[in-house]
Amino acid sequence: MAYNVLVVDDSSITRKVIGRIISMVGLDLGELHEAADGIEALKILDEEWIDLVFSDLSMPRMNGIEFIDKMAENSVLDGTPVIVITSDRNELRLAELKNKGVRAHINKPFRPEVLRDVLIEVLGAQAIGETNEA
Amino acid sequence: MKHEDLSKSYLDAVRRVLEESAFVFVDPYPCEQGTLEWPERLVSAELSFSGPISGTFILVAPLALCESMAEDMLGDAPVESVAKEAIGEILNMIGGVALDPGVGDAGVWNLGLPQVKDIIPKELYAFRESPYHVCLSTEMEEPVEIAIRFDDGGD
Repeated sequence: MAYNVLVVDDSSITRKVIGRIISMVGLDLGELHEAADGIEALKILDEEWIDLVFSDLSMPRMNGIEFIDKMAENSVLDGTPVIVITSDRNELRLAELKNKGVRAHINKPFRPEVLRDVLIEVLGAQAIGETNEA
Repeated sequence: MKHEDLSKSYLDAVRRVLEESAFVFVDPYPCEQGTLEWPERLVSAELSFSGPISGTFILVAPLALCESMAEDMLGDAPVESVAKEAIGEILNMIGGVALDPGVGDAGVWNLGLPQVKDIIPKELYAFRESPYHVCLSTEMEEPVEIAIRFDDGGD
């Protein structure tokens, strides 16, 4: 199965780095979409089928928490897995995200293997071409 | 958290993030030594923070260094605007590491959005008036300077 992925971050560099790493770790990537903030992201989600969202938290116009809340309010989007990638290490805020349905978070900066492990946790080993066979 | 604890955390975070994200290794050197020359085109990044202590993290680097860091991050030579964006994003990551809840007292920290602008060498004197200011050098002897401007003017 090829996954359509949306990367939401106000830094174009970070969006490109995440895109590179997603491919590098072996995710079966369909379409890769990018958005600079929550407003752009919601527009893309309205127009495209997205299987997985990576989102930053600190963004102008609509931040990551507001964006995640909007997804949760939408019966079509509330099941789409979201992985937060952020510099924010506040444990209370990150715990709150889990309560909002965020599947995992990754702190910046991160190594590719961290993202790989999170993809396995969220999508299963088959998503990056690995199996659970011993 | 004391100002000096945050200052140490900031320096540690700068060194760690530059190394991990951009493969740049920096070491402090005495600013008064003045042996490193600043090129004319510099980029300054500022990131406000608030919490138990409030202020602004500052990071200044030559544009050429920003370009090479962006190229290392992207795998392609960037246009100038993307190179400048790189230093802002690097400072954003530095801020997160510096304010890690595991450092110093527990507290709720908030980071702003990085602000990046062009500066010229004579504008560096404004940063050097900050109570916390450190001169750094890369392995290639490129100068980098960091500073913290505390809202309470602390030392």
